[in-house]
Amino acid sequence: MVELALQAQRGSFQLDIECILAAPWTVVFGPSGAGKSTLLRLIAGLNRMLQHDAGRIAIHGQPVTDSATGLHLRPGKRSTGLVAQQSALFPHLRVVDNVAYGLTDLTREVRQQRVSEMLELVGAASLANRSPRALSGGEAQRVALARALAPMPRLLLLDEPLSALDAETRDQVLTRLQSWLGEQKIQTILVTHDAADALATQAEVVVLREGKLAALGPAAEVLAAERKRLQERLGAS
Amino acid sequence: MDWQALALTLKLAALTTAILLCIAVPLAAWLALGSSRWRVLAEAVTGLPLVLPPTVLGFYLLVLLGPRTGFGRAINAALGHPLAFSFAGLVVGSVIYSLPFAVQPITAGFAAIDGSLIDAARLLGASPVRLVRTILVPLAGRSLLTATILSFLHTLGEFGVVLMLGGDIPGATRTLSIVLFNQVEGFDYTAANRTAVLLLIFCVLALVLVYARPSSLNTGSIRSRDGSRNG
Repeated sequence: MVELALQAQRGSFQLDIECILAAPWTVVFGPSGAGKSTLLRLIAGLNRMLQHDAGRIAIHGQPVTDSATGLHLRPGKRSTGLVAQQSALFPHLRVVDNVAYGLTDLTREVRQQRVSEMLELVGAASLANRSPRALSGGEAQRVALARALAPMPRLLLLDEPLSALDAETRDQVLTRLQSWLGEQKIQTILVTHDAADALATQAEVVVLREGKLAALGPAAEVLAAERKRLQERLGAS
Repeated sequence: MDWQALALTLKLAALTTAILLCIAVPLAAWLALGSSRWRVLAEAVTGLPLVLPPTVLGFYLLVLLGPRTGFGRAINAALGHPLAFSFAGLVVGSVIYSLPFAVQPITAGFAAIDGSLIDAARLLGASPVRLVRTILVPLAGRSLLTATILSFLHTLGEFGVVLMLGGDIPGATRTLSIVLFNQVEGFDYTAANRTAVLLLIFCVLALVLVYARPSSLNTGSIRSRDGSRNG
């Protein structure tokens, strides 16, 4: 469960959100510049609250950011994984070493086993000994996903992480991923532009517009309302 | 050829470079990635030896390390001898004088690394030390090579600070630059030419190394097979 109460100014842009995300899968929709990525970065702790920002973020009941007390738990202490469109694989490390990067607390055997499991999960087992330079965009995104999952975070943040995959592969990965995340009880927040992702995953949907929460609810309901709103706007114009 | 001066010069340059790298890597990481408001001041102080006449720097170091200041007296008491006019004093002076030649290339190298790689490492729990050791240093290889060579060369050809702080003591503070100065002052142009050529060869070889751009160094961002950026 992620509790959000945020009022954050970024230049001329104001993020103003207050909600509780409790569903196992939440899909965040919104046009470019609506604040989706900023929201994920604030949850992950990669962006700090600035001097005039106010708000609080709690993950599974544990406060991780609180402007009132000046709390800012560093990203590595939030048990949060983030995969963005840009896979950000460490170019000097092989695929296995990338996936193992966050597993320093495990013994060698357990670490190797976990890396194999994660690569298997995302269908990238055959890439284990490759350099990130030798990967296609889609392969790199799958490896980045395995790397984020390997430490078993409590919360997974996905910012259009499978955009480089073809539709069929993306559906396969998403289905396998959703089932595995469900088993591991890892909550997921996914930013996507594809309504099919939301419907396929039976997600709760959050719609952001100009930094404000415009809608929150079950996928079918919210998407139907959004479709109607767009149709009305197109009709009006 | 004054082999003793050559050996002393190389020893001074090697020691100074090693100390500088130990100081410059964490300092550059802080300058490149930190958000402290003291960063600008630190950058200005670090860059000061670039614009300060070496004799001015040498003079202040001579005063600071001499018996007239509390600091100088404390050093004297701790070591049993003053730092001024000693090899150790030259090392201190060289480290300060060459600091920007180590810090600036490394800071630029760290700052050029794709921010998403640093974010990824932080999210995966990397401490600042691990981040520097496993991500920044390997990805800024060429900047580190440049910093190493520039620091070495700058120390090799140092004159003003050496003369002010170390004087001309054979085997202790007489470096090749001092030897060259003495040879010119004594109108021994043949010997001066030999010394100058030696310093010139060192500098050319080192700069060739800097500009050779080994392909295995500096891999802060890559393109994947299909042309999209991976990091």
